[in-house]
Amino acid sequence: MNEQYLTIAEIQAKYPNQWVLVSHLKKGRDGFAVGGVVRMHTPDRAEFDRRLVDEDEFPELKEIKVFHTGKPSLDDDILEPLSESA
Amino acid sequence: MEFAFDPSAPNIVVTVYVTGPRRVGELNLALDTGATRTVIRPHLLASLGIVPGANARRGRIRSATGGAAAPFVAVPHLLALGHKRDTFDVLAHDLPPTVTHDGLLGLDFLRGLVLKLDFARGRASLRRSRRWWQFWR
Repeated sequence: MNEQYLTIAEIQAKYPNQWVLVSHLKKGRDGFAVGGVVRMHTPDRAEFDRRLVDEDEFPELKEIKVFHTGKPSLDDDILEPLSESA
Repeated sequence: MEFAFDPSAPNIVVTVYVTGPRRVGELNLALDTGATRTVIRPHLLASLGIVPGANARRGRIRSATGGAAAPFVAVPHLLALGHKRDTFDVLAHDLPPTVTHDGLLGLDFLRGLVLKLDFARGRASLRRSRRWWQFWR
């Protein structure tokens, strides 16, 4: 496991266009993570999701940050304008 | 309290904290005032220990791309834009694979509060409505 602490900007530069799982979060003044230790990274969201829910994969982590390091995709602006009925 | 967002981005992405029985997750949700319900990807919820029960209430989702049914799950704590909601029902629903955020922060989280979006400065705030006797503050 890579135990190296990286800032969010460093993670974005080192793992471009990937889904990233970060642990051991260091918080900024606003309370949000400014860095941490990368525990998993992959461009494949299906693989990321599969490993994320595997209880044996990261059993010790109590706080995580999940994000995609790329710029918002073109599809991101096609939000589903959800309406919901019970 | 104000939170920064990128006013030139395709959507307003806010960082939220979701507390589950297994762990706490810092996720990115798109602020969507067109969504009546808050939506989070089910795999992320499951990783936090939040899974729908066998008899979970289901909501019907209508969108521009079609319809679907998704289960509701009760999130123990959801913190976004400085406000926390406890035992908050969200829809566990997947988004298209190319979408790079983790879900939608919908109107159900915003109701009863005052949302301000400043696109000139890239600042968002969410606060409680002031009573008439508080206006001099």
